Order: sequence, then structure tokens, then C-alpha cells
Amino acid sequence: MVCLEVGGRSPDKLLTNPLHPPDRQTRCLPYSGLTVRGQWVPVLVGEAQMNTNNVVRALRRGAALLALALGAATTAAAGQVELKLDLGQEALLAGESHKLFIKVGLTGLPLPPRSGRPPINVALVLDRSGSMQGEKLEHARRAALLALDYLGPDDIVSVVAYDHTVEVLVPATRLSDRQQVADAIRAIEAGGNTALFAGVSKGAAELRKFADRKRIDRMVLLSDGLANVGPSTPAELGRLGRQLGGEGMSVTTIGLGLGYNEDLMVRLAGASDGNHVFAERPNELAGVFRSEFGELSTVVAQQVVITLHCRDGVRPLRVLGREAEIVGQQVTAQINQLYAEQEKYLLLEVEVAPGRADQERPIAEVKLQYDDLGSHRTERLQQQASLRYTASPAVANESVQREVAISATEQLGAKLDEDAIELKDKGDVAGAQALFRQKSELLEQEAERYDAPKLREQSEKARAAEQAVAAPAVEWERKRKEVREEQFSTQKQQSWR
Amino acid sequence: MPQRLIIALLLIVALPLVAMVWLGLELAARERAGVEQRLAELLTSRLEGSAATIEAVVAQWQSRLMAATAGADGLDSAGARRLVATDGAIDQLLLLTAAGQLRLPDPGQGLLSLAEQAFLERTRPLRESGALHPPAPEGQEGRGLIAPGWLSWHWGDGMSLIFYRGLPGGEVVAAEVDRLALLADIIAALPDQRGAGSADRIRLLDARGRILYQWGGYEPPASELPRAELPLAPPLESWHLAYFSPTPITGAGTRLLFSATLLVLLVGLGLAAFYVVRQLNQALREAAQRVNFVNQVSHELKTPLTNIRLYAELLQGDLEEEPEAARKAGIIVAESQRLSRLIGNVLSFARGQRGTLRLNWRAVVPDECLREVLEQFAPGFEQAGIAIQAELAAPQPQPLDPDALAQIAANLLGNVEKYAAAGGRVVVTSSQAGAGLSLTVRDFGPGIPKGQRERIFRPFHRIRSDLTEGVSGTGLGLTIARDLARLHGGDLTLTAAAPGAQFTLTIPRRDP
Repeated sequence: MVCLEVGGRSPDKLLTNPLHPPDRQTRCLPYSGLTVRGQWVPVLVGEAQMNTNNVVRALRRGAALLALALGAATTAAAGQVELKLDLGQEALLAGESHKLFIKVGLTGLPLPPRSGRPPINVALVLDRSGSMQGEKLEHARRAALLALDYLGPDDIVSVVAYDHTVEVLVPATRLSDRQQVADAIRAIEAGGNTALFAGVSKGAAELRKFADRKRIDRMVLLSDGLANVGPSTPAELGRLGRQLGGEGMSVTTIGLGLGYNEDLMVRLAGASDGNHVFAERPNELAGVFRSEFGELSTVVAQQVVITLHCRDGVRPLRVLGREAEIVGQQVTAQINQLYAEQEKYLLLEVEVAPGRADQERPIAEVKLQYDDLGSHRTERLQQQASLRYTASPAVANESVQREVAISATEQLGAKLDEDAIELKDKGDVAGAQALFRQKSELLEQEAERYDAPKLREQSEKARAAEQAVAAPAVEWERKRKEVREEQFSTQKQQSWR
Repeated sequence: MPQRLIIALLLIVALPLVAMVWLGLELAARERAGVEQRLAELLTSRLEGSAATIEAVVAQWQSRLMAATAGADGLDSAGARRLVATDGAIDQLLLLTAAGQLRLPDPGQGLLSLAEQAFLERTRPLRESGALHPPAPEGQEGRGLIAPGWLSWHWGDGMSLIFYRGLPGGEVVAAEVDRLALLADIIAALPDQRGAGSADRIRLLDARGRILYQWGGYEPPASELPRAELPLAPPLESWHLAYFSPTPITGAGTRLLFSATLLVLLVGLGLAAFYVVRQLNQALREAAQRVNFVNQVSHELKTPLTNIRLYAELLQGDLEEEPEAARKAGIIVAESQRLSRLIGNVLSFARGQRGTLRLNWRAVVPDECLREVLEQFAPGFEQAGIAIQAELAAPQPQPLDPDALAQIAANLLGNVEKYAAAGGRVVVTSSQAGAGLSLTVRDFGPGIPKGQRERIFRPFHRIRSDLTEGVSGTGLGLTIARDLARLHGGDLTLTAAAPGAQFTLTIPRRDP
């Protein structure tokens, strides 16, 4: 959602933005965007083309349209990544300063069929604490065995099981002797506490043995309980996750049942740029592993570093959803892996200085660097974006970019989820309910405006969450995990759940 | 069986046992301390192996940081950020000028990330304390290169680690590393459950005793204390390793041996005590039988003796005209009196033993009673050459048992006759004060040795000396005399006198 502060002059729909002071009202204006690949080319995408149910599909259509428009320029691109730099609005009302969202969209392009998928280096880190006993462990074993089916002889696998101690059941090895790995997985027995930190540390050590830019390093962590041996706070696991993410190792965290600490699992996955899933019942594990390993085989790029430089008169305020570093005019963020036909994006809010009507203002320049798994080279892309000032509110209003607005809305919604959970944790039930209500209203409104069913869906979930806040503890525990998972997948654009 | 004997026997059994147990425990404790000491040394050496692994990881980090910061001289802000971004080990970087002033991150520019601002804030005390910029050693001209070093301090809920080094250009670079990243690396280097392969447990613990990592097949109970502990070397000096082991320190064999020895000793001593008790009981029974026998015999003797005495006295009366015959009859009378005293003593003793000794209270003039006794002894004393000096001053009638008083006096005088004849005289004094009767018998014989003065009152006790050789006696006289005195509520005591001995009898006046 892109918001323009216009004081009391707003003729259109008014809504209260939770992130601005409550006494100031904002008017949101739709704008068109720029889709650029390889070089900066402005393309206007009409409503007709964007009128689809799925943003990703819409983007792909945009890309297809772009390909038609640019011909050789599109096909000449060396990499597997499409970079888009979109502004919330293309035109701003002159004479005022504005808050503006900038969206850096990265979409993976499928690898050529004959090149095959890049090898995977995966560490399965499985909880075998006492609470896993029985059905849970049985399904975990089965899911892990299923995962082996997705791996080929070039892939590396290691299996680590932890309770109060850690056991490296299968040290990192090429999956040539499938039987040995399968036997080790079948032999896992439950009992003891939860030394999660140590389990992840050992898993990372196994990944490091075969760390290679050509391979995809991934840890899949399964836990059903609260970490209670070794460092065990969400902050501590978050720091470990950031360290591992920095080394290119993503941790996908799977929370099983209702007993795990979703804050910790989300922090670990978020900081290392992995996925996070809440599997309430053990029989969901097979599907989760299938999705995770299915997605792993579509990785097209990794070690993606986004550097965005704001031009004069543009002040970066904050990044929504992702971890990023803002230093002066420069914003840096990292994404570990990009998958074919999936968009991941970075959403930045900036403050733009006032300008004269018809004045052009360069807003930002983005540089992208990543390891391309198609060409096995480090590729670079670069984009710039600028906008102009107008004296006409109607023109400014018209220039709002739908995609950016939808992304911004869902990010604001995710932020509201986060804040609502924090309030509920502090015991402020009414406050939490108010935030969930605010979210559902906001998303409903924007879904209407942009005809975005995705937002409507999220709005309904927020309404359900609002109900659950005052529900008995067990029900809220389940909802809390669902909301965390939802929030995570929105912030990190996780494509499956 | 007398209580004292039982206590004595119990002590005989218990004391060696207690001593043995004490000795055994003491020895066991010393042995355990010794074994523990040796075990702790052994386990500490095992911990040292793990500590070496950890120190190797730290050393690896240090060399990585040395290499990463090698070209940090004159680094600009962008370069420093690039270094932080590309080197996974470094969280934040600090550059101080040669003068110790902060150069990077430069807060003056106002372009610091939130992380950099927080970093400056938390390192402020460190920078201000000069820990990163130690002064040049004394007596050294100018400052050399600042040696690489580590600083660790507690910040928030954990420990922060800073590596610093001097650069050739004179600047100091300090790199903050994430202790959790270091911990993850340490855990990666330490054995896992499978690699541990031992039945023991080693734990890595932080300053607050929380487990950071552990391995080994033994799961100690929460209350168990580690067998050995080893703090890590700086910069992780607040962490330590602890070794837990299920092996019992004192072998079961030692304990069994000790228990068996104790049991054998207990059985042996118990048997010995049992035997002693049996023997003693038998001896006591026999003694009681003997006393009984003597008692019965004495009873049997008493009646004929009374007759002998009666008729001898009658005969003596009849023979007034024939002095020679009267003298012989007098001897019969004296000897029969002596014999009846003897029998009286034996019977009194037997009653005393049975607890049936009773007094026959009557109002009696003590002096009359005493005079009779003195008369009885007069012939014997005369014959033995003992002069009796009687100073009797107890003419008031007083309730007492006259037979008992006579028996006491007779026993005392009998002793004088037997043992103190050499003194040549005896002084018998009686007096009557408000408190009651007091009688003293003073002889001038050899006296009683100091060590014997209380013992002479015990039954069957006789002083062994040349003096008593060849003198007949039962050893009951003083015992009975004292018993009788005490039955009166008085006492019989021996007071020192030189030469000779003086016995004092006191009988308090009793209201009728």
C-alpha cells in the first residue's frame, strides 16, 4: 500500500494507517509501475493485464509482455533472475514531501531443461526428544525417508538427531549408499531433552564439509518442543540463524504439534532465510518434506545481495518484512535462494522531498549480485527508478502502482500480526483484538480497491485470529502458530505452506 | 546381674567396635580422598583434551581475524563495512587512532546503521577504560605494536567478545565476534554423542552454570556434582568444562572387606561377652549358694552356741570358789561370745545381701550398751596387753538398735584386738550432742595405708600385709558395721590418726 499524506484535503477513501500517527489521515492512491530487466525500461501495465488472481502469475505475465516488447533484449539476459524496481507512485503531488514504498522484485527464471538441477547439500536435523515418541517420530522418519527420494547421487546428505545431546547419525556424504542413510533414519529412537542449538550447530558443521557455491546448502530442522539445553531464546537462535545465513546456509524450520516455540523457529528460519512451516499433525510431515524438497530442486540463484542507493532528496525510513541494513542513503539486504517462477521482494519505505510540478526526480538505484546456478557465475544486475511531480491530484492518484500497493498492504498486515501477538503476549487482549480487526478492515478495503483475492483471504484469517485472541489457551496456541506462519510466509514470500 | 557389669560389658564390646568403625571410616575417607584426587587428575587431563579442541577453534578464529584485519590500516568507512559484510566472523569493527581516539565507526557523520550505533554504545565503557589501547610498558621508549588480544565482558544476557590488535601504522583495530557463532563452531568441533563413545558425560557450561553443550552416554541426576572441572583459557574464561562419571569411587570390594571385618569382630566380641556373662553368672550363683550355705550353717550353729554360752556363764557363776576352773569357764564364755559375734556378722551380711537387714529400734542408753561390750572384751584385751581407756559420755537414752550398736562396737574392738595389739592401748570415746551419738575408737597400731582407706569397708576385703598374716577374719566386720551405721541414718568413717587409726561412728538422734 502506498500512502500519501495529504492532511484534511483527502476526497477519496480514508483509512487509518497504524504506522503513522493516529491523528494524521492518509489517502492512498494507485499507481502504475516499471518492469525492467537488464536495463531500465519503463513499461505501463494496464489494469486488464493485471486483473488476475495471483500476483506471481501477474508478474509472470508482465514479464512475458516485457519479453514481447523488448525482444532480443530479454533473451540476451545472462542470468536466471528478473529484477524489477517499482515505485509506489510514478507521480507525486508537487509541493509536499511524501512517504513512498519502493519494491525490489526478484523472480527466478526456470533453468534450461537439459542443464539439470544444481546439486543439493542438505542436513536433516531431527528432534528425538521424549515428546517425539510414537506417532510423531514415526511420521518424521517416514518423511525423512521420503526426502531421500528427491535426492540424487550427486547430492550430499547428512542426518543429525538431537535430544539433550547430539548425534551425527549420518555424516555429510554423497547419497550413493542410500540404504545406509535410510537405516540410520529408521534407527532413530526418542528420549531426552531438546538441545536445539547444538543440533543446529552440528548440522551446520556437516553442511560446511561440502559447502560449495555450486551446491544449495539447506538445513531442515524438525522440532516439536521447547529448546531447553544450551542457548534457547528466540534472540539467540536468531543470531545463530543470521550467522548461518551469512555463510549461505538456510534453515527451514518445521514446527510439529502445538508444543514448539514458534517465535524461536520463525526467528531461526527468518534470520537464515529459510522456510517455516507449522505442521499440527504428524501426518502433515510427508507433505511438508515433499514441498520443501520439491522447491529445493527449483533453486536458480543464491547468495543474492541487494544494494539499493537512494538518490538525493530521498531518505530511507525502514524495510518491511526482511532483515536489511540501512546506512545513510544505502540499503543492503541478502536473500539466500531464489526459486524458479517465484517472486521474492524487498519493500522499502522512503521519504521523498517536495518538488515542483513537472520536475523529474531520480529516486533510487538498485544493484543486484548473485550466484547464478545456470551459468555458475556471479551475475550482476542494475536498475534505476525516478518519478515526476504533478500539480494534479488525479494524475498522482492514477499513478499508484497496484502490485506495490498489494505488497505493501500485506507487509503492513504482517506487521500488524506481529504487533498483535506482542500485545496478546503482554496480556492486552483488547489491544490485540483491535489490531487484528484493524488488519482485517485494512486488507478488506484494499482487496476491494485492487481486486486482490489474496488480500481478502488474509483479511478473513485476521478476523478468525481476532476471535481466537479471547478463546481458551489451547485454541489461541494453535492460532498463534498459524498467525506466525502466515506472517513469516508473507514477510519472506514463502510460496508453499 | 549388677548394672555396672552390664555397662562394663557393653563398653567392652562397643568401644572396640566404635574404634574399628571410626578407624575404618577414617581410612576409607582418606583412601577415597586419594582416589578422588587421582581420578580428578585423570578426568582433568581428559577435560584438557576437550579444552584443547576448544582453544584450537579460538586460535583458528584468531588467525582468521588476524588475516582479515591485516590490511585494516587506514581503512575507510566503506572498506570497514565491506570487511564486516564479507567476513562471517566479524560482527562489527572498531578502529582507534594511534592516540587511542575512535576513528571508525565515525559517529560524527550521522550515517551509522542501528547495529553500528548499538555497537558504539555497548563498547563505550571498553573504549573509555583504555582496555583496547593499553599504555606502553614502563621504561620503554615509545609504544611498540599492540599485541593481539581478546576482551570478553558480559553484556545483556550473554558474553561479548572482542578481538583487538595493533596495526603497523599505529592504529588499533578491534573486531567484535558473535559468541554464539563461536559457540556453534566449538560445538561443531567437539565430539557428538556417537563420537564420544564413553559412558561418561562432559558438559560445557557458561558463567551461570547453564549447559551450552554436552556429550557422552551418561545422564547424571540433576543433583550430582561433577568429578572434575576445568575453566577454559581466555577469552572464554567464564566458561568451564565439567566431567560427570557414574563410576563409584570406593570399590565395592573394599566396602565388603570392611563390613566383613566389622561383622567378624562384632560376632567375636559378642561371643566373648556372652561367655564372660555366663561364667560370671555361674560364679555369682555359686557364691550366692556358698553364702546361703554359710548362712544356714551359721543358723544351725547359733542355737547350740547360745546354749554353750548360757551354760558356760552358769558354770562360771557356780565356780566362784575355784578360780582356776572359773578362769577356764571364762575362756569358754569369751570364745563363745567371739563365735556368736562372728555368726552374727555372717547372718547380718546375709540379710544385707538379701535386703532383709532390719533394725530393732528401742530407747537405749548408749553408754550402757558400750560398757557391756567393753566388759566382754576386757579379758581378751588384758591377755593381749591392750589397755582400754574408755571416756564414755553418752548417758542419755536414744532410739537405736542396741544389738546393732553392740555389733558395731564389737567389730571395731575386735579389729583392734586382732590388728592393733602392738599399739598397747585403745581409746574409746562416746559423746552425745544435739545431733546424736558419736563414738570413736582410736588405736595406736600400724594404721591403715592411704590407698586402702575406703576399700577396707568392702566385703571380704582384708589388708594384705605382714600384719594380717596368720590372723583369722572374715573380712566382713567393717562392711557390716558401716551398713548398720547407715541403716541408723548415720555413718562409720575412718579418720586419719598418727599413729594408728581412728574410726568414728555417728548415729543422729531420731525423733521417736
